[in-house]
Amino acid sequence: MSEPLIRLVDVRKSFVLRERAGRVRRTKREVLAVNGISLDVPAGQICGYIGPNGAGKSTTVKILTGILTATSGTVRVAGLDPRTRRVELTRRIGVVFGQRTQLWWDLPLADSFELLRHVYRRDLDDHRSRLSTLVEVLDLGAFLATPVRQLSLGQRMRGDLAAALLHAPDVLYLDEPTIGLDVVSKARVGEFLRRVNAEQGVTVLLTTHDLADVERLCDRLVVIDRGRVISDGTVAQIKQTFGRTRTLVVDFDESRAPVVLEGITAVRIDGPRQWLSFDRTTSAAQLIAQVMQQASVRDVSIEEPHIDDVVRQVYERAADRSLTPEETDSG
Amino acid sequence: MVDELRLWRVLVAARVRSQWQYRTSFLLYACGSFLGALVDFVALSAIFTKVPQLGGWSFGEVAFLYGVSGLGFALASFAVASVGNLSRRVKDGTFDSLLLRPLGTITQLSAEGFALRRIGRVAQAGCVLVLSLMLLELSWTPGRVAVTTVAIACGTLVYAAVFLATAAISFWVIDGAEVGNAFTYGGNYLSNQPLDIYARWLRSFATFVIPLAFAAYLPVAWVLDKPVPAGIPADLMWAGPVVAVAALLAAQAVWQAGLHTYRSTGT
Repeated sequence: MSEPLIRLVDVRKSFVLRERAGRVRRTKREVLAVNGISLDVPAGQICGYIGPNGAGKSTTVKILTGILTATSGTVRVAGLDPRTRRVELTRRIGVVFGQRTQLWWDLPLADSFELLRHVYRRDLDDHRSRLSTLVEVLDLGAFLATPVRQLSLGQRMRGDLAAALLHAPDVLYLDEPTIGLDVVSKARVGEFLRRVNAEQGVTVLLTTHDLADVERLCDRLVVIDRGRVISDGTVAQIKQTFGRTRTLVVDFDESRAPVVLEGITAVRIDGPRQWLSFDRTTSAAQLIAQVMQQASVRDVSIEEPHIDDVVRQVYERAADRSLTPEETDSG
Repeated sequence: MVDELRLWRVLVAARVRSQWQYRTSFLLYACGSFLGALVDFVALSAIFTKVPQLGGWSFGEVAFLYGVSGLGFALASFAVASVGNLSRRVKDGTFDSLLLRPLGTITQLSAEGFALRRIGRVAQAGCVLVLSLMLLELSWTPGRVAVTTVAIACGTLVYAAVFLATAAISFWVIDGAEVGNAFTYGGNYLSNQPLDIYARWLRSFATFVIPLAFAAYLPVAWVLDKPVPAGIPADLMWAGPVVAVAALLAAQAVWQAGLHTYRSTGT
């Protein structure tokens, strides 16, 4: 197999913080934002990169794009070292920040695309054919002549996606691309990403707090915390590892005391309805039969673990296990 | 380099288009900038209502110096003063997005913050220069024309270098912008007037620390047949172009060093 498109080998990034200690004296404190991350992302993958605030997500993305240089370790993106070949690399990557636009605020959307053609020195014919495809797929036609500042958030995000892909990058970094979007716009962005990934083989690295995005889009989910990878696998694998339980929701005829049965915990009770958590390996059919022997049941349903709960469990387990100090004091 | 300049023009044109949407505001600002600069010159000319000469220079001669030096400053400010936005962009994190494009950060910053209204100051310096030419009655030999033109060009380069180097302070010190103003606007103020009137240390500062004297003062003194002030070697008077290019290269090096620091430390 060829070399992965993104490769991180034991990458570390430390920052020196200077803090006040007393009136004049200041102390230096070293913070490891990224603490030995190794990660290979093969070409064509959509990889979710998630973690709690301050976990080191955006630092990693900054290292991958060449905005920051790593303190140690090896970084390769499309075969280039972002430290020394940042400018060359800019033509191979596209970046979308959900909270900021890369477009020219006061100019019509079409003008931004034209300026980007110059900035990336794109051939006019290549540019035109690519732009017309993006305009069609993202349905930008109706507001190409509208100044960016007058676009809705959803329209602007679609414009930003087009801008990031105009120069035909191999990798697309997305930072919270659906933040603040309504359900319809979210679904549209998701659908588009799947499409560029399938049709053009663009590799996507997605950082987000919206796990519904991850579940809908990602082939793979990498979870980091305190600058380390704490979990790496498909969404299904992670659910199996961390989402050990399913939930049986039972509507009884009337309110009653929590069900007591071996291997079952009543996690919530609301009038005649009870939520009973059980191990995913237990047969639900047997369980329902046992519950029905105890009382008369009107309705039952089974809930699969929700991705949010699964990820919360991943974070919590990492926090419990973590004994390695995240910061070291140095004078 | 040529390509970079071409892209700078493309981006500046886009910037002007977007500012043109607020043309009333542009006109008001441009007039304000012209008038503000004019007041500055009026203050200088007020001195001449009390004294006939300043450091041995007549009003027309000082106006000529003011025009040459001021035009260099105004042109440099017109082209690159918006690199001073670096401070804000580093602070709010939007500097990062400049590093994601295949274009130099100086080119992007100076183009994206380009303000057409700074033309007001160029107009003011131009007017003062024209006024001085009317007052002076010099015979314009080809040599004098050439030296004056080169002096304006060198002044532009030196001031551009000062704008770049002082803006780059923000890579190390977050609120470096104020320190920068002392050098840019302060330097302009110094070199608008005959250096003889300043204390020796201030003269040396304007000559060697910020090489403004080379760019404007010495050539102007030559054009007007004035003696070179004490403390400045007369042999150096032809060094203007060399000094200007060297200053620009040095500023560029400072900028690159700052960028290097930024990339290894974040903010």
